[in-house]
Amino acid sequence: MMFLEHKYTIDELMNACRDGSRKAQEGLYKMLAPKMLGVCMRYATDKMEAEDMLQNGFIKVFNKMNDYRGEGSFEGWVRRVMVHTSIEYYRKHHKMMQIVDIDTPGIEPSVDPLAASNLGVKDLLALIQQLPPGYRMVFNLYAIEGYSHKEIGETMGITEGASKSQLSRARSILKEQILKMEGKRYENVG
Amino acid sequence: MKMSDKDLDKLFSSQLADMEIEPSAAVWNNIKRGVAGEEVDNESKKSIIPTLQIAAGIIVFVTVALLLRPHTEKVALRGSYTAAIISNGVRPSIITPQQDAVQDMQVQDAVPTTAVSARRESDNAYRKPATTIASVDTTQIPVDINTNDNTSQPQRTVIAAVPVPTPKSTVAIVSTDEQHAKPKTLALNNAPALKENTIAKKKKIRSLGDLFNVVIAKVDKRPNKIIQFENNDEEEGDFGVAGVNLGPIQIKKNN
Repeated sequence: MMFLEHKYTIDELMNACRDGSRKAQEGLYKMLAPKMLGVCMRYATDKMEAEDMLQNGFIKVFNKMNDYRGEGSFEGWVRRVMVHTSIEYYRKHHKMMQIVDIDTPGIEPSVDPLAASNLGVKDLLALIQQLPPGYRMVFNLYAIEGYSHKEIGETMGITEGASKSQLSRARSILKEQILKMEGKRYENVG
Repeated sequence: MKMSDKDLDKLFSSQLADMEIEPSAAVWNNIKRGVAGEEVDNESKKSIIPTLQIAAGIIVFVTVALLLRPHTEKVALRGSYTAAIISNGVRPSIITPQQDAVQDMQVQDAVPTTAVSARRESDNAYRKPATTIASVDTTQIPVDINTNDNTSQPQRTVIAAVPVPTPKSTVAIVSTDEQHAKPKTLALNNAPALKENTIAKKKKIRSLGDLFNVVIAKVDKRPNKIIQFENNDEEEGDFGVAGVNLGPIQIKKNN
């Protein structure tokens, strides 16, 4: 309870975690878990799957706390652990991720940026979660995490070309889905 | 206006990059168990696995040793041979279980004796029926012994068949009688059994089951083999299990 009553910095909690303090671990978890579950939700298809990823990720964080050497922020390090744990989770559970889609995208759907800006967090999250796992991983890594195609290839064990192809296909699907959502909205208004 | 790829990426990034969702309470409990459990499980697994492997190895070794243990016949050390009753100063003839019955009779015939008998009180008569001569106590057999003081006359021996408690081996014993012209009479009750044995040995392997039975019989000397196959001459290539002997568990087909 000591850690809940008094606000500790991440560095203090981190040092206490290294000493094996269960209270410090709980404090660190409570501080970072909502953000990290937000990360995992983008890689998962639903909340249950995301919580599995979160759980595996935090076990790794606490067991490999000494691997963090102070390069960059601790939160950034935890986030990277979560991302890698999520990709690992999909490698184990979805072998389809290995398949490289070589289909060329069709005609790009035309989406109105103003209409798309009306979409909320839940809508956008639902759109990402509907993507096929491979596309979802590549889009997340490139568009949100800021990885390059080379880094994505190394992380996921695919070629740069495959990464580019999957990103292009993911964007195309997302645009199609946004259009569909807009159409439904207009139908409901009409 | 058309939405570019960069705009699309920006839309998702701005909305979802810092998204926060509260996890359910069960997650922390699982993490707690996971962090503690990994350490405990790893240590306990390390310590238990070698012990289990050693124990399993010992059990397998003992089981295999018991199943493949060669069954040698026990040699009975008790029992004795009584020497023959000899008269007229003729060399003694002792009937031993290892001698062939016919040879014994030849020896007895060549040497004129008044009465030669051997008694064996051992149980080995039951264990080795093919080579054992079960002799009979002279007191139990109605033997007519003509002991003549005149040694110049050759005495004639008569062999009489006597029923003996042993079912497989019975050989007659000697007595003398003037009324019988032909001195040699031999009854071998185990002769048919010997014949059957020789026929069985000469029997050809006609089926795969026979082949297996022969191989198993070479390895397993027990009367009930570890596994025996049926011998169906009529149904070629089709053979079933006739019996199984796994020590305490023994299954045998009646037919």
